[in-house]
Amino acid sequence: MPHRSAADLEEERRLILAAQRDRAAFAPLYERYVDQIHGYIYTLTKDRELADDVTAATFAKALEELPRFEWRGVPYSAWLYRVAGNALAREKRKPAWAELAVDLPDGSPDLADVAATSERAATVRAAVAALPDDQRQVVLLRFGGELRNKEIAAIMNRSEGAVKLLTFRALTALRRRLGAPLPAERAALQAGGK
Amino acid sequence: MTVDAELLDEAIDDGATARADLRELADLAAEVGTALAGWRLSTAERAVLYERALALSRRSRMAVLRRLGWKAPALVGGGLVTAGAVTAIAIAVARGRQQHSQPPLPA
Repeated sequence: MPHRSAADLEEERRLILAAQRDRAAFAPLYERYVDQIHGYIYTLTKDRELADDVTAATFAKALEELPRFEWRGVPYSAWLYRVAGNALAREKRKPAWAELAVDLPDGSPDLADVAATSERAATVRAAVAALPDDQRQVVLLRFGGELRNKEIAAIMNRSEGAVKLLTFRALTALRRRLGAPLPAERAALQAGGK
Repeated sequence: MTVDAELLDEAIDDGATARADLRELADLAAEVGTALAGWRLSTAERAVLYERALALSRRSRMAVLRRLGWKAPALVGGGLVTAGAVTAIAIAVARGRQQHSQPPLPA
């Protein structure tokens, strides 16, 4: 899976500095991350209106905090995901991360999904949305946000080991949910059938 | 399971694993990444959300300014009163010292 290269991070640092000098220069940062943040919130909530609200609130907060933002060599998105999680928690009037109420999808992608991407991609996203909260967070941050384990651990207030374990469990669950049995399970099935 | 999680983590990052089950999970991870990256707002939707973010940010700054504006007269008034009191005390102390330190009148 790709992570940000040093060149990417340097470009991002320059974008942030430019935006700190002139708020009008914030637009490239917004363009870079708005889809990720919106997709993240939508996958968490399956609520388009709420995803819009939280995304707007997240970038409003980003604009407000811009003068005080300190570059630490970590993707800007790591900070945005944290703000988005907190904004969502505020919207839901519940503590961050742990108790996000989610309407689990029935497995069939909704019309917006189908229109936006292929049916398979929508099915994968629906399967991600149906994961338990902490597994879903990890999957969205790692594979949607392309963040490193260390960055995810900081956002979720967990250890890196816990993040790796959650990733393993999430992918195992997704593999089952998406239909194809694991080779080990396939072997067990074949052995049982003999 | 912890060992498997470590091995999977390496397989996801560099694709190197001899185990077929972990290879499948790593491939699935790549597919999930592609599916999540496929989430795209339209240009119009992006523009609308950006305007909303700007409006929220403006509103928030105005609220801060209003709060400061409301507090400013009280802060300035309080500051003036304090400065006046400090000055008066300093003058009184200085006068007192002058009176006590005057040399005795010549006989």
